[in-house]
Amino acid sequence: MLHCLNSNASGNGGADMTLLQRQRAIIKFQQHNNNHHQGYSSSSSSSSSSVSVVQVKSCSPTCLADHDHYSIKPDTCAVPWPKLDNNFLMGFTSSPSGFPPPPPPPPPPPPFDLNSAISRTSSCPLPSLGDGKHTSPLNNKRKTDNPHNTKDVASDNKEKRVKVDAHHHTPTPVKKATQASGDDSNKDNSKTCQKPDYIHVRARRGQATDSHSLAERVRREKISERMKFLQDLVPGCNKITGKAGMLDEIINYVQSLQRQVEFLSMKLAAVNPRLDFNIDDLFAREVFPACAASFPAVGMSPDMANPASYLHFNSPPQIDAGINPQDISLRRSISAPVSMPETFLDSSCFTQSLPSSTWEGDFQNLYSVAFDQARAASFPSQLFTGLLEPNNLKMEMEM
Amino acid sequence: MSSLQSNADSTNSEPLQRSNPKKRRKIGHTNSPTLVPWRSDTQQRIYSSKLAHALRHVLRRNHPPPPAKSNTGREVRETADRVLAATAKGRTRWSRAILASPLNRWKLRRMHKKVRKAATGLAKRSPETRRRLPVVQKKARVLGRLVPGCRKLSFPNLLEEATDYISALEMQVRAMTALTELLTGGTSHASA
Repeated sequence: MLHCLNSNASGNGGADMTLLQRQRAIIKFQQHNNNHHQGYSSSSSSSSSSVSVVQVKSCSPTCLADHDHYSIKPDTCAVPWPKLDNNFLMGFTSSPSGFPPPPPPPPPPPPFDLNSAISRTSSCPLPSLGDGKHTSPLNNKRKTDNPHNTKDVASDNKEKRVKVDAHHHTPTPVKKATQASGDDSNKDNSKTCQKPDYIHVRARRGQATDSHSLAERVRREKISERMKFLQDLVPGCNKITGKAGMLDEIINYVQSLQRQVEFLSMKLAAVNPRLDFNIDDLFAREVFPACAASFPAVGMSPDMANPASYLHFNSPPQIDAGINPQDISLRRSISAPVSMPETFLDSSCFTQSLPSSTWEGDFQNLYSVAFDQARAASFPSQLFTGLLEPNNLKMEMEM
Repeated sequence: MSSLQSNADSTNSEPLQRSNPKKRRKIGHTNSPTLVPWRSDTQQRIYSSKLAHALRHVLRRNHPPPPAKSNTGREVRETADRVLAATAKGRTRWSRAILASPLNRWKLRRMHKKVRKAATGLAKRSPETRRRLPVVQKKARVLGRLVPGCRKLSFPNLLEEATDYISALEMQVRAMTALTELLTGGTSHASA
């Protein structure tokens, strides 16, 4: 019964055997067990075999890589097998993750302790393999990492280890039975499933595995991640490396922005008398040509009110027909369904209004230019000159 | 930047997380830049409309400008900040701080500065004690003072708040610039 599996393993080579082949071999092995053993062992094995068959077949392709890690071990540990046929199978069925919780374990707990112990000690011969696979650092770290279950940071190095960690964590109903082993990771497994707030971290290869240093590393990575975002945000920070210099730049930038806001607020306060009667019209003209439906939050009624006032202005045909196609384009933009996403509507409004008249295009360009260039410390004078044209038209329309 | 997107869905759980004891580490701590996309045009228009409405009230109140005090500028600035904080929908710490303490935030600041200067003048500082605060921490403290409501905040959270605050400020500057140009452009030609 063992010989068939061993021959399979030796025939195909431990590394070359695919998971399916291995699984098939195990099923055959179980069938052998069913045929030859009677009583408790066979019933347990049959239940286990049925379970294992179900679970094995539902194995997802994403788990295959990790299953390879797991399944490599039994191949190499050919020696302890004769004692552990049933126990090994139970251990194997417990290791894959993402499966529905396996049926309640058989009464004797010690086999499970042996199970978990074996599934871990089976990793011992692996470093001697020297495959050059990434499994060896994985297993090196697994041993040392069991006492440490701290936060996790997603990184390429840790991807597979995160998955393996997940494999550890998800089959909690089985793991709860194995908690008698007193493994730290088991406790943390149950912790993680009850309180999913913990993030798990694995030590990278060649780095300290002390829990303090792990926590430090995660904290440092958090900080550096946020500094990177700030670097993108603050102009001129690309050349500066180091937290102190970056912080200097950030502080300067925030101060300059706040000063700009103060300056602008002074300016707005000085504008005062104009605001009383004109702000509605000016604002309508500013807002409306850009995009009619850009305020879905505000509701349709103010949008309807604005175009009404705007169209009112247009009815006296003071201006040439250049404006009328603009009217039509604007009406089209009103009737555009508001349910469309906002950003899409913005672009569509712009494209609709572009061919209509130069006035529209100029104003839209200036508006976007004002948005984009206002960041500059000096307010560009071209904005003022550019705005003269639409303002002329505005004044005409008011009359 | 993909981590930003993954954190976006945890924004709703932020108030919940704050109520948890501090021992628990929070999964996917919210990255504020994804909370409000300050760079989008729509946000700017929302802000501009709200700002215009608010400013109308302020300036109407001050329309016959009381010659004694010239605090209209400060009022304008405070309304602008409050509208900005309102647009942030209170998801960030600085926005909540602005909304929570509208009573002369700047006056309080000046008082704080005076008190601090008096205090430091009395205490004698030997050159050794100055080195206790590493440079980065000093700067972090300065930044904490700049961003409203973020004085006693841990460094990574402070950086997050600063990120959101900076993008919000940029949007505010853009919106106010556009508004002033519209208004001043209109005034100059009405008078001509």
